[in-house]
Amino acid sequence: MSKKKQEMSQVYLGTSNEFVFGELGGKGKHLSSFLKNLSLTSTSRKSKNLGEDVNSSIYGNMQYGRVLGEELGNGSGGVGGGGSDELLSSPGSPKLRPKLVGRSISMGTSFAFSGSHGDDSTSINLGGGSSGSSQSGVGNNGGPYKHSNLSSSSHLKSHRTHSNTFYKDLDADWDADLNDVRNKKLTSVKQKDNNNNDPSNKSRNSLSLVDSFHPEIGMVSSLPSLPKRKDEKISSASKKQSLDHEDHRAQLEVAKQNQLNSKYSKFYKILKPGNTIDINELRKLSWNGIPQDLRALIWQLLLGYLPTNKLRQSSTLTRKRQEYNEGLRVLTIDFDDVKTTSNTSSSSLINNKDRQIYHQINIDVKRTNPSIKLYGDPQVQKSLRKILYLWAIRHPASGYVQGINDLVTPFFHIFLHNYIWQVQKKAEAMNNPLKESDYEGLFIPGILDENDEIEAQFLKDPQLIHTTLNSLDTSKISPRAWSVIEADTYWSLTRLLETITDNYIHEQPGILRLVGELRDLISKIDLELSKHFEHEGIEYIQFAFRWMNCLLMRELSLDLVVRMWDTYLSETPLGFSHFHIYVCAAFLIKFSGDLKERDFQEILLFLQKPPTASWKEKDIEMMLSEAFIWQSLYKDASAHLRS
Amino acid sequence: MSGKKKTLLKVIILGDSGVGKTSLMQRFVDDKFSQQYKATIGADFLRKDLTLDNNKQVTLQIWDTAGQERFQSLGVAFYRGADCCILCFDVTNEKSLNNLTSWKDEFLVQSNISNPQDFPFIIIGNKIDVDDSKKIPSLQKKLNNIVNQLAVNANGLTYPVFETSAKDAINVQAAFEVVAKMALQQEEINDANANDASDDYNDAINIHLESEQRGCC
Repeated sequence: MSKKKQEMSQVYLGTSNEFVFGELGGKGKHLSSFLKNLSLTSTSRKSKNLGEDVNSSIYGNMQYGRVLGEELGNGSGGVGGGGSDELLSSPGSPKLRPKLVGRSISMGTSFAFSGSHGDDSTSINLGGGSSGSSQSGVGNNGGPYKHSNLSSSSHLKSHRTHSNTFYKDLDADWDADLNDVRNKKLTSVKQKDNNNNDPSNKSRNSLSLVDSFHPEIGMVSSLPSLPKRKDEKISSASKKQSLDHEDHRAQLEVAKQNQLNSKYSKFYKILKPGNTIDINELRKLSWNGIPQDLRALIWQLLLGYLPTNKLRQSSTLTRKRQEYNEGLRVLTIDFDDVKTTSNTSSSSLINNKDRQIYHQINIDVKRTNPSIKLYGDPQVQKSLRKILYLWAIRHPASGYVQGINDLVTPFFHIFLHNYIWQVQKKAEAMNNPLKESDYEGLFIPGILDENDEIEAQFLKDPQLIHTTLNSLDTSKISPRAWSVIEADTYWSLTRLLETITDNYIHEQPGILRLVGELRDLISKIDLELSKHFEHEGIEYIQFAFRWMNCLLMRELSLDLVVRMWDTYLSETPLGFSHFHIYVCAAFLIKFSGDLKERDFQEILLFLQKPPTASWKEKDIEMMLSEAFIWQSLYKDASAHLRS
Repeated sequence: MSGKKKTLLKVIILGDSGVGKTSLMQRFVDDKFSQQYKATIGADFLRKDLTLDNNKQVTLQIWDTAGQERFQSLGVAFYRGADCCILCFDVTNEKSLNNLTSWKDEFLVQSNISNPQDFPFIIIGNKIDVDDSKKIPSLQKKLNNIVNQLAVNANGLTYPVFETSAKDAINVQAAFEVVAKMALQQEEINDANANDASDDYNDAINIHLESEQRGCC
């Protein structure tokens, strides 16, 4: 796979505010869709081509990582040999990575299929380029079914033989060294797959999505470095000529993984070396989306909560977390009190006003993200009450305002996810001591604590590896860890709200101003829509108030909001105020065609429940790109806006 | 009156946070109940067509408002042109009952109603499905006091009171039929006034938005 295809089309904020479309390949396509959008037609964009699909779902569908991880395991398992985890440490190697991954996938998948149908091994070979063809050649030496018989007659033996033959051929033009350590662990996985003769496993083993906890990091670090071998290369290219459906899917998978890897490697280059992180480079890269497992770390950096100077990180966080705990300690409120009425309060020490704030927070936390199971958990609700109440008490000018309970959840979600991820990675490293260094510089300091006994239990928990935020048993997390997650969430929320303070103070002047700016902007961008609204008697405040107060969190799913915040956090100044207007404009104009057909009532009903349920990250990314364009067009032209 | 549209009636529902305004609305408009409503931000818009006793077809345009005090300054944008206002409290929360007076005052200040003494209010006490033990002690007495207090400046009007359960669908339809009738009456008065001023708008929303909102920027 050529390098240029792996390049993502990028639209990012350069230091000089430029619009970068990349150089080649799929970029023209994006340019044309931008231009299309500039003409203000709201069309549904279908990805006509592989590249676009791949680009758009790099960060979201983390399940794929798991499949790859396992199959990489299969691949390297059979080879055996010495070597180091060169890819991650050597700066020269990223170039190799996509190529290798592609091949590893081919290899792994056909392994998984080896017990079933011979055809399958040929159908998955796309990503690996020429090595793919050699692979099918192997399986076909004796014909697919013959091979199948072989492996079923004597699993272990055939497995060994098979893998050796297999790799011999595949290795023909591999040019890196083998990671021995990894192989040991993963051989067992491979055996399992190999022993499986049931054709019904085909789909499970191949491209089905394995539910797992975002193991991309593991995947990246486990990229096998493979030994050079001078074996003959068998070609059966003819087999691959027809791209059937599975081929296509496999190709997608491979391309996705390649994209993911190259994305990761770019982040590593910023995050890993040296003592100071280049925040501008990080912003530039993060604007286009942050991989899930790096998100907590990068968000904290972008917020300025985590220092870019690594030497200061640990001490700063320790101090901040202490400060949070001390802040809570002086409060006389009982955070276990969840009575819904404010008639009675268990604590007579707090004054009436504070009790009212607590009451409001209490009833709002109960109805925060009600559709997500995690937020129904008593421990989670307690944490949110603490964070929100402390924030409200510390910021008397605004106090708690409804909607801030929404804004706290992306941070909480991502930081809780990060905790589980760190525990999982640590558990993995404990089983395999040499691996630990892979995550150096990627763990937020002080999240894990060796002296935490509950955490020690969690590390040994057999369910740990399968734990996701949806399946999390919150009692497995120690009070210490909750407190750390809360503190980080608290400070991040504080940082965010600092940028939009006047949205929440008396009379909410910030929101009124932003709504007015949105109205003016729409009248510049989409005069027809603007006139239609006016004709129907629509006032922007009637629908856009919530857009500002909750930053579109009521209109979009949490996953999409999280992606959106990658970009908001990469904007300077943070995008929650000004950039958000342009995003709202892009959002509104997406529905412009629909809205122009509707009357007053229908417009309001439509905008109250905009049809975003099927939105994917690519829709968000398109919207962000449009917002970016409009910002660069209108940002410094506010005088003209007011015509 | 040729090509006559359904009469549009604008209704505002006010009350403390968490008393069940959104639940009442959902019960009335879609006849459903859920534990999963999020806190209302700003105000939500709902619409419901009704046929009244006299075969009169009306469309209720309802603004379901946020209960938190901080949002009250928004009232201007939503209250204007209202034909009826529902004051809502929670029968388990005494404070929400006591606050009805300030909700009414706030509404009158912000809506710029021309005839505040005659303006129709209706009082709804929600959540009667809960255990008696959780209800406000001697509710009826306190409720009467509040209602009298509310009507003190009214032109001999008594404000209707309904006790409802959005959860168990008790009394909700009945309450809103009264709302509709009261709103219709008010709308006819408004219409008459509007006609006097030889104003030929017949859209309650448009009248007020067009005539009074401009010039703010």
